[in-house]
Amino acid sequence: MIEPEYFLPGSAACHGCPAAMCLRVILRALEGKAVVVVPASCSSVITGVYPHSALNVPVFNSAFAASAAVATGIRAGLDFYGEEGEVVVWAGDGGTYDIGLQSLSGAAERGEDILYICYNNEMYSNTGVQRSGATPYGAWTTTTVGGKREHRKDVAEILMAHNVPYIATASAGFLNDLYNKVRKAREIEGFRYIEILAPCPPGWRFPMDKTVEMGRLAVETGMWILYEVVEGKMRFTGLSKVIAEGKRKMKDIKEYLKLQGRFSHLSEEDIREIERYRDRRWEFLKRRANEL
Amino acid sequence: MEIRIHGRGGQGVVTMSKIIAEAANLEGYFSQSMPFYGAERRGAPVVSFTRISEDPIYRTSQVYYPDILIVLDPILINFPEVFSGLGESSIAVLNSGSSADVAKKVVFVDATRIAIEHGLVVAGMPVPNVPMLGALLSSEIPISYKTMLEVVQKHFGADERIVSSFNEGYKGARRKTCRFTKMHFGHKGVMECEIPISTPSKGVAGRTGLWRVVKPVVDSERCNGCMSCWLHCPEGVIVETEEGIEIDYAYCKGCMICSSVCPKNAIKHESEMGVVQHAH
Ligand SMILES: Cc1ncc(C[n+]2csc(CCOP(=O)(O)OP(=O)(O)O)c2C)c(N)n1
Ligand code: SF4
Repeated sequence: MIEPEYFLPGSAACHGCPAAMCLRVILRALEGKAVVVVPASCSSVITGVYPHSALNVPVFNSAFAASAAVATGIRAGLDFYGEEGEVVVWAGDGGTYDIGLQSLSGAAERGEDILYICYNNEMYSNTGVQRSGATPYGAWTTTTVGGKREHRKDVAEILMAHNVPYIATASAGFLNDLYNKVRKAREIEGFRYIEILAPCPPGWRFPMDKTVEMGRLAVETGMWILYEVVEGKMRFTGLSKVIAEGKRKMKDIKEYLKLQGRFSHLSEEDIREIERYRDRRWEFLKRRANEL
Repeated sequence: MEIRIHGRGGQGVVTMSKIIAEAANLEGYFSQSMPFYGAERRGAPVVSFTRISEDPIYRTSQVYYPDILIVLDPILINFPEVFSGLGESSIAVLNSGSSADVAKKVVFVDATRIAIEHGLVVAGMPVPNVPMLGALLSSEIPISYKTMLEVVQKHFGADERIVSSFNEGYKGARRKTCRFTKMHFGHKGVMECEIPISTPSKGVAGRTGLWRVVKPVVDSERCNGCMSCWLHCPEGVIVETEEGIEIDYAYCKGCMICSSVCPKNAIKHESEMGVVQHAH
């Protein structure tokens, strides 16, 4: 059962960090046969500074906007030398939704053979909590002091429009599911995208031992939806599948929101707005799953 | 003249770099100071660069071939990578009680001892940058004693401990000519470690067990070996042994996720009495 570790203890991650937790699982799923490209983010700090690295695989720290382009180059280099191994981008939502979006879109459109994984903690954590395009409606950040007034965009859905061979969502609350999705992605050639909901204790303001619980609640309340799109065919997975099939009711979103300091100021109307958004997304994704 | 300073977070590397640049500026030179952009957390290796020139400085890269190399942390002296790019005429200024064959010209002083004797200790960590600035005057730096002291006092105040530790660093510095062979890194001497390449190591943020306030303790009677704790541990400090689950307390930060995901409630919370909580 126990496989070798590629994420070494004593990293610079905060207590209960979802990025450290998930990256450790991912590197195990890849059996360490990976080159990891990390744009500016908490992860560039977590993995340590020269002359030490917490990852027992090659890591390239790239410029913020460039990770998918850098991965493209590394893939080409490995191919040239006939080297095996997965080229993985490990980027935050700032580096994916906002700053890295154009290089991500470019690499997806060119069909580069890389695995792009976004750990979405719904904000810029490393620089002390600023809003990103992935920050949900109502959430407090230092740049949305009264709560964000816009809903988030959805990069997984943007990538559906790129017709890439594999897209999946995952959550830090379901690590076995994440492991299996990475194993599956490994078997597929071409551009693959996985987005993980990564509840960040200091940024979302909840106790450090609740990371997993928060990742589960997000799915249980329908605020985060687990699915997979393989060659254009979409299907719900895990608990979201059970919910989509009507075998289980979604929990009240308040159970999820009330545990997080970043939502503590929400009005009843704000909560209803978040609920409406959640329901719209479910409708959209269900339609999509039926269509294809 | 190009200067590179190595140390750890909390030893005053970046401040030292700024003080040198400021003092050089007062002496009529153009100067520049910049830290290696990264996490300046306590305990983490830190590098900073200073340039001094009679002409305006347009180069803004890191310093790969230093004329003066300063090492604030005695432990780092054991890492050959720290000395990459030193040439025949370079000088190394070391925080060390003895000399080392790291450059042809070596200046050394036990700045940690001076810092401790003068109470220059912050949160349990000696800050050796002031005595090291005194010792630096014994290198070929174009800064006078008076100017350096003036800038030091501007940054740290005219506290007696600051002035006397500066003086002790200045007077205590020894200079020695050493046997020096230029080091080559990487492949067949083609590359002299121009690209900083890190090696995988445990504890990139130090012994993170020090961050712990609450300690997870496994109750082996209750544990059924499901390994949920191992799966979820963000640090990878949980291992399965013959005797059951074991936790590497040297690095466990005490986030207690293991306890929260244990279906058998077999991981207890134990307070770390007497352990000072370190900032992180
Ligand atoms: C071009 C550029 N702009 C800004 C920064 C500063 N910066 C470093 S990390 C970071 C936040 C990254 O946020 P995200 O991608 O969400 O990752 P997280 O920190 O949440 O892990 C910022 C703004 C930078 N390094 N480069
Ligand atoms: S701020 Fe959040 S994502 Fe960043 S290291 Fe800390 S817990 Fe991890």
